[in-house]
Amino acid sequence: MKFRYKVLLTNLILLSLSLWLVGYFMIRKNFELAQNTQLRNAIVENNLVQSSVEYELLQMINNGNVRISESLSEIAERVMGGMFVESSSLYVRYADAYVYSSDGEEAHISESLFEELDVGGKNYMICREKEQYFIYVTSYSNVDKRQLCIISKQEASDAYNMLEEQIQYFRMLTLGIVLSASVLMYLISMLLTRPLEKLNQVTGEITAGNYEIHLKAAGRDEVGQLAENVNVMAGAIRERVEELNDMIHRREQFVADFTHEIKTPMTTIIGYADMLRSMELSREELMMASNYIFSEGKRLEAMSGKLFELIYLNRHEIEKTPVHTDDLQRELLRIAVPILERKQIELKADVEPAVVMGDKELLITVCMNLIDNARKASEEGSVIELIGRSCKDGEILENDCKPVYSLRVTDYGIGMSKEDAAHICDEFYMVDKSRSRKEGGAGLGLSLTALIIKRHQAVLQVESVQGEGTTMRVIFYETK
Amino acid sequence: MIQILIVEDEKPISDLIRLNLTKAGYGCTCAYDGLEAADILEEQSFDLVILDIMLPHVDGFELMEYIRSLKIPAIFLTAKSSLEDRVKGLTSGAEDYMVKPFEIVELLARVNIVLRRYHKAGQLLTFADIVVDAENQKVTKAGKEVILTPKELGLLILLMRNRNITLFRERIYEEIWGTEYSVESRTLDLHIQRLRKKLDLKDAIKTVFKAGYRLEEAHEVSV
Repeated sequence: MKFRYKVLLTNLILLSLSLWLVGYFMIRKNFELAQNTQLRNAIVENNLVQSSVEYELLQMINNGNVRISESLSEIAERVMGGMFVESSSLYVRYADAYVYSSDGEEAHISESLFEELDVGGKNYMICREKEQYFIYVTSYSNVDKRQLCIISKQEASDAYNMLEEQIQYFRMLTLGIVLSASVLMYLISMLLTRPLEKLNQVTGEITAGNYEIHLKAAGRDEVGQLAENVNVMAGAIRERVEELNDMIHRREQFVADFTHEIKTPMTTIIGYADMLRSMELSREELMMASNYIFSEGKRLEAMSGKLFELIYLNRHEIEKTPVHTDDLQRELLRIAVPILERKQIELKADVEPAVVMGDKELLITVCMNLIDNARKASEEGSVIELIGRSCKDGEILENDCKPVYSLRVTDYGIGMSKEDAAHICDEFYMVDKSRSRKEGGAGLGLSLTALIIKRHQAVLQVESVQGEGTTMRVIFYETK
Repeated sequence: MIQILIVEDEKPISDLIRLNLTKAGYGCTCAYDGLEAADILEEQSFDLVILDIMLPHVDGFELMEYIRSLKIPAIFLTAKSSLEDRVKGLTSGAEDYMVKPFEIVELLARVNIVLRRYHKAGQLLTFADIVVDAENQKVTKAGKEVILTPKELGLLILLMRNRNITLFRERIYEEIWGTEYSVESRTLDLHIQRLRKKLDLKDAIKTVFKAGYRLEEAHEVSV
């Protein structure tokens, strides 16, 4: 059942109930009041009749007439004629027998009305006779040691008629009110639930995958808040989905790049091996083929090694210990200088002694990769700088962390464009493919470097000008 | 001589294709990126282009549009193996689509098919004084017709198209008989013997021990 119908129905039930209760008590009170008035009138009349009858009877007795039963009917006749209206009747009972009846019948009342009746007291009852209501009032007095009862009967239909009429009127009124109230309430509940319907529709669309929806704020009530929250939720879902899509895209890109990178050496190896087995080759051709098979095989080996490291790093936590930067420098000079000498490149190292937290072996890998990249970009006889500095207080904070140490590797080689600089950390990305291949690169060195740096909560900054050189800076932050 | 342009940025693979096509008797030119290829295409005319998709500067699909406008048949030779790429490659106007890694015999076969489709490969295959008219199924030696069975003819054409390349038994069975190779079968050896006898190719058709056969042009060998 729709919410608006629920609201409507509940309100209608409540309204009807309260109307009915009010009407019931009002009408009942009215009826009681009317009935009381009638009763009082009847009693007053009965009183009048009683006193008149008693007075006349007393006079008769005083005059010496003692035939009470006979005289009573006369007296009653007189009194009746004197004061009673048409709808009323009068009965007189003396010594348990009717001595007078104005309509010629006995009063249709039970005997209980005469019991427990004291002198001067009154009893009454209301009876229904021929579609009409009557009030019987009995009074009691002792005359000549016998019981004299005066019974007056008065029509009491007015109160009942009024009751009837009021109920009728009340029914009409209730019907009218409930009808008009339903229409009004239906409109109001529709107005109130419209934002909910809109919300319903919107959440349906969100479920179907449309996250671009924005709800207009529908006031500041709960529904408005809900709408606002749905907006926030849709935004969050959108972000999450984009993130996921991005991740899937990156993964797909990785797989695509990976297959491409693996297929090139595979094609070369298979192709040349196929040549070797199926052709007579000249000496030079033989050399070329076997050289290609060897170098491409080496490349596959390097690539699988780097990939393994990447996977390992992604799965395992690194253990950080204090690393002395002068140790780092010594170690790096030992490894890098022989490699750089082959190209007559000079390594200018100036590392300020300090202690950074990290995995020493991994930090050496980082520096070696950076130096190796610098070497690949450099011409023969050029210079590569390795500079380490403690950061001074008051430098810019990143994520509320204080930078403590920065390590930079600068070359004066070919440099690269801004676009390339943004991608150098992507797996298999190579700025200059043929050059990189010649140098034995697999396009994974910087991905690995970036991952290690990230695992150290450090930051890698790349500044490069095409034709002038590149500076790669690793900034370490204070660990909390 | 039929001229083929090889567009491939990986030097080893480019060399591989060039070497094989040269051995099979085609003239080759190499381009290492899309722009270079376009420049070469502008100056020289080619009978066929073999091109990679992932190329520096201008990729294979873009280059294909230019090649199509020149009405030169092209074969994509790429590492991209997804169905989507294959369809895109073929609908872009390429005659064929090959996925790396590839086998040389397959590459040569496909090159040959495309060239024949464009009637660029000579209708007549020649080897020494033997001329084969593949279309009319006629073989002449020194001007005199030699009668061959269809299987013998097919075998001869296969050997001539892949001259200087060892054809493995498996491959020959697959191409000529369309069946799996079985070790005990002597059918192939019988056919080879008959070819040697009928066309006097005793020296030219070399038996490669434990592998297969090779049709060798005497002057090509230089060890």
